[in-house]
Amino acid sequence: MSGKEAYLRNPDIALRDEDESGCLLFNPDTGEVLVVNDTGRFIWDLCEKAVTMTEILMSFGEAYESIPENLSEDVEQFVSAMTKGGFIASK
Amino acid sequence: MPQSDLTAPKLENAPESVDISITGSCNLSCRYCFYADPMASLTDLSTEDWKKCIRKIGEARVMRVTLTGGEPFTRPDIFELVDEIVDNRMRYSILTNGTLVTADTISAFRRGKRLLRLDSIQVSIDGSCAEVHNRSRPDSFERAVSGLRLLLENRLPVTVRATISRHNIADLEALASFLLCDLGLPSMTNNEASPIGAGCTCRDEMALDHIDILNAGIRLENLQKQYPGRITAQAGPLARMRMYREMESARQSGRLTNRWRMGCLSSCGGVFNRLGILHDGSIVPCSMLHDLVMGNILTDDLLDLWKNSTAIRNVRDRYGILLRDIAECSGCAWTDFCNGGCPGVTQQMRKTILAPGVNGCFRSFLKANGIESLNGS
Repeated sequence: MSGKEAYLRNPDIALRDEDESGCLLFNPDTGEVLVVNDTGRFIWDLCEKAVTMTEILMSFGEAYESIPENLSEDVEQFVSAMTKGGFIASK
Repeated sequence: MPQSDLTAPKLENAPESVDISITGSCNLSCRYCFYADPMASLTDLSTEDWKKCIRKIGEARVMRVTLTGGEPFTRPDIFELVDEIVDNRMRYSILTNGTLVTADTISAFRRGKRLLRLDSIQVSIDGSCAEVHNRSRPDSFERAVSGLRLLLENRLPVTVRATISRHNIADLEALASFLLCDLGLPSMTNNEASPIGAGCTCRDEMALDHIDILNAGIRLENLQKQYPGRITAQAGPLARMRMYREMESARQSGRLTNRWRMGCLSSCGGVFNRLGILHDGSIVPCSMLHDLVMGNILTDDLLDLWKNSTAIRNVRDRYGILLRDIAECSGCAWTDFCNGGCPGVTQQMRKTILAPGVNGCFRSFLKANGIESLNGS
């Protein structure tokens, strides 16, 4: 990830709100389901418009008072999983 | 005495899947059709109404639909409805008798995302030859196999289900050989002719009794050994044998299965993650519970019914009914292990869901077969 790539939702993905544990992203082209928590949902919401990794991390800083040390690594892993599953696309 | 955890399965915020009987029309007259009664009394929705329904189902974030009938391919607009499913971000399966599948059907599947979103297309084949198949599904074997071959040759995700009745128990080995060896299907599944609907009118001729279940079940278990991983069942003799063996194992070892909640009316869990819609738009807990109408997809809020409809809540509440508290189960050694059987069959046969089924009773099964245990069978 270069930090310059922008990530955007695949418009075919359906989001199912579950319970307090989070929500599901469903890729109907593959049948794959991704369970996401509040943090994942936050990133998914950001990807409604094309957003870079830097912008995602900045948005966390703006939205939350304290940020875990390993946030950058976690976000990169999550974005990578979403990209591999076709839930978002990079451009 | 071991006690099962009686907590019901988690109720999804929305059904994961919906079974849609898109038509009450059929080009066959199968002798055991459980849907024959609604087919005769209800009217099909129009194309536009179905598209509206599918949009509502998609908006509810349902992930998968199964198109059934009647025979789905009797509807000339079937691919228009498939496209609506695709456009509404869902996947789908089709249950068919196979007789109307042609080269044009295959070509139609190849357009757009229709094939990409197809989970499976299931063809019903009940015998290895016309003589056996046509006993249950009159005058259809050659056409059904022709459709099946087309689907296979064109590498569509085709599966086959055999409905087991008294008509085809003796043919099971030949049927497995025909489907798995001659046609090269990766696997086959099976269930049984339920003694409801049209199946009820010829019950003595078709429906399996406890002795038939043991006979068919052992044959199918042997076939499973012959074709490892290629013969499956969610219902019918094979599934019942698996359940009965788990009941015996649990009683003997004290370790309960985690496949169902033992000791209460816990069959089945479908009402926690799926719904049925009849061909007039009626929403039901399951197409086998077609007289428990919750509302209509055209006029009612799907998610409101899913959460609040008394009809489906009553089916879910069966989880709280202990078999040991049911008078007719009194004294049965299996009450702490049983699940009470399919509520759909029970509703149709006994006109209530608040009772155990009569045809899945393990105590009666052992007695009818003159055995004390399945060990050695």
